[in-house]
Amino acid sequence: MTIIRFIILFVVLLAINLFPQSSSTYTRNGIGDINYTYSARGLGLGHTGVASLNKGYVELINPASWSALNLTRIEFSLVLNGVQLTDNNNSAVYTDADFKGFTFAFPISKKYGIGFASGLLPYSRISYNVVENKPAIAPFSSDYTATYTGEGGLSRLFMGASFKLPFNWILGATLEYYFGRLSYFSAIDFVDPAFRDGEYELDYRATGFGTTVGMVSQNFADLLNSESISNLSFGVSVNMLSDLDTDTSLTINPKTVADTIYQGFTTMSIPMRVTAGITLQIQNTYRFNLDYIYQPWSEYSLRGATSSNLRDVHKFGLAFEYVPTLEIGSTSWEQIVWRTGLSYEMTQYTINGKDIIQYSAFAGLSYPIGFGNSLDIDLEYSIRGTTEANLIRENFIRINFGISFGELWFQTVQK
Amino acid sequence: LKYSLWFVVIAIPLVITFTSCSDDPSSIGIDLLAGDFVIVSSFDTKDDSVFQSSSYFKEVVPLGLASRLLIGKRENIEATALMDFAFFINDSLEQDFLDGNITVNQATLELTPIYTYTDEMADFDFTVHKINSKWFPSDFTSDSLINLSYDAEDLSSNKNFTDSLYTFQLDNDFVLSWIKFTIDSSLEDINGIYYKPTMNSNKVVGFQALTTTSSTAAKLKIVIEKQGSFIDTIQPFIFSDVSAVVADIPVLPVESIALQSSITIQAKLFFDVSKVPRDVIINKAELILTADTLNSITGSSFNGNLLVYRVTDSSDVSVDEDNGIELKKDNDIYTGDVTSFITSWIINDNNEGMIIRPGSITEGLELFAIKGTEYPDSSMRPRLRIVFTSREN
Repeated sequence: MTIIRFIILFVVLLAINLFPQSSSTYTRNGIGDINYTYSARGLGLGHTGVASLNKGYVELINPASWSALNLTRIEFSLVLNGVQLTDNNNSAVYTDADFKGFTFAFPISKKYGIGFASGLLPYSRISYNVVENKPAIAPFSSDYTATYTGEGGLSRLFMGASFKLPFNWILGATLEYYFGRLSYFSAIDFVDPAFRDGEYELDYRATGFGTTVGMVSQNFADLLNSESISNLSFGVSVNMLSDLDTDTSLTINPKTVADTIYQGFTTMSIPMRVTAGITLQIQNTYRFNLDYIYQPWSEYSLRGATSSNLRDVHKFGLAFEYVPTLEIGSTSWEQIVWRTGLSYEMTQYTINGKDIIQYSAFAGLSYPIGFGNSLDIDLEYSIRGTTEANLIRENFIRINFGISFGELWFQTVQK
Repeated sequence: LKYSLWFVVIAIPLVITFTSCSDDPSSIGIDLLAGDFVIVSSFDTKDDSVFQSSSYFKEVVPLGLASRLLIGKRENIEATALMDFAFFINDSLEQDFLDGNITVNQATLELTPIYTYTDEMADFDFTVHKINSKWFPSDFTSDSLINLSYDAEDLSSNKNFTDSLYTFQLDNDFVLSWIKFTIDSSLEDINGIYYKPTMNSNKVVGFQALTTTSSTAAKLKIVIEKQGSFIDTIQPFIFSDVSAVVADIPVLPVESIALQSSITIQAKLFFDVSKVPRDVIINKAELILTADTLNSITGSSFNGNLLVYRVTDSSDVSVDEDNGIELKKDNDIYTGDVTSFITSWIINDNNEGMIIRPGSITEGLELFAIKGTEYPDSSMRPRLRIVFTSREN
């Protein structure tokens, strides 16, 4: 009953999108900004953790991480975005709220490291809204405002499992269904109401399948012969998509003028993403993650054409997490998990001859609420881009709220 | 306590979201949207060299629904009218009428004038004749006159014309025959009366015609007498009426085009808009016509605006009758928003021109002269100006 209430509340939250702009016109390129993680914890760790085994939350960075699950988990995530856009002349601030997805996971066999997970997560997001006021082009015309809006993105529905291999190596894999609509609106509104306003809507509706295959190594801590190092693991995951079937259409509004003036069918090719990293854990309390993400967006193509505004992504992330040891009688405050991270990303955007670089800092905490449950609040501050070459500098602040419910389901308890 | 905490947790993002403030959308980053830009352009037949043509023609239409019954003659225009009445005779009197026991002492017909074309002081007279052939107001036109059968005898007398009422006497024997025919249809066929202007008439008068709302349509008052029994007045109801106006196409200077109500003269206008690209949004299209006031002729009251229709088939000049657009007159300039026409032409590639009609095509006889596409001063020719939006890619 409680869970149902929260689901309803989160659906309500999903519908709230008061200020639908969370990024800039950079997202006009490709499929927009990429969501590397969905959870608040993933954000606080700077999108790292490909080599981590997570028993307390569910992430899709590496399906092998699900082998550590010890409870059935249901998780939701919501993000509040704030972005300050600056160019050579102007600056403006925009905010919005966005549902980041949900996951459902449960352990099947601790002995064989089998964990199952499924969920619905965003893969990318386009979000910009710019306007331009223009004077009348002729004495009998009217002043007008041109508005350009981009919205939508790809989402993925996934299900997958992990499995323990010999020598305690762990393998995980998913089957993912990708779908989404990328919409680009070019609208015109005349000051004089006698003029008929209009809008062009360019849509891409993409669907297709993909997979993420990941592996986490055995614990190499023993090789270091150090009493303080409790875990040293390596991880790698590869996310691959088939070419997405894409319906395209260009529509003129209002409908009284015409409707769809172009319809077609094509394919969208999204490059694979490779994530590799190391997790080092000291005294079971201090965890360090170092991850690297590579995705060759220069190979992205739509209708067989690549984009000169896209380049390969190289992203480096470093994170630290403090996980207190649970002791009888510990207060909630003493059980809080703290984390922080940094990342450097050569984003997929290269515009006007300039590569768009992003620097980010992350911080967050997990507040325990009862057995197995937690509330996660994590922050991101990022700087992306430059005002040189007529470009935009973006200052992001993101606040990610996550709720993770843990219950003992599907498991027999011996009396 | 646990639930309260959860709801606080849920409320935090809600509160933050609701209290957040965003600036209005700005132009930041607009330069990065090359390819998506919308471009506003204009097309003006005054400035752009495009083919255009104008002409006028006559297309006879039935005037049965007109609110004015036109009778008279002016120059080459001759307006005639047909009228029929319905008699409702008490059953107890029918046999007396048929046996000749009831006579008609007097039959007076009253017409209410509401319009004059053009000189109110000009001579005016008409004759009234018995109609022998069938006619229907919904399809009777000037072209039908050639098949109209009527007696040569003038049935009218004692005419009295004032500013507010025209009266005359109808022949008593004719009226009695008319009543008998309505009682016994096997008798001599009478299908109403036909008004025909005399040769000396030099104006056309419009009388209130039968409409659903009029109370001043033609009235026939008949005084009947049964010898030694009673004298009474009966008033049949006007059943139908229609005008039929015969006229030639008006002759205007070659650079002008004509529109005339009731006759009916319409103008055809064509602009080559092939320079306007496809897949654009027509934001506004305006048609501008300049009145040739020197050659226009109007009556005592009229609708000064015009109507424009999109031609759907130029081979028989059929138009989209349900979607006429009004061209309003201001200082001898007619303007109207023809965005829907141009949109149809561009999208469906079906530009077959436009038809211009008087604002009230079946009312009056106004002659609207418009400066045509051959007018020497190009700024006064029919003008089409369009504002349209296209997308860059």
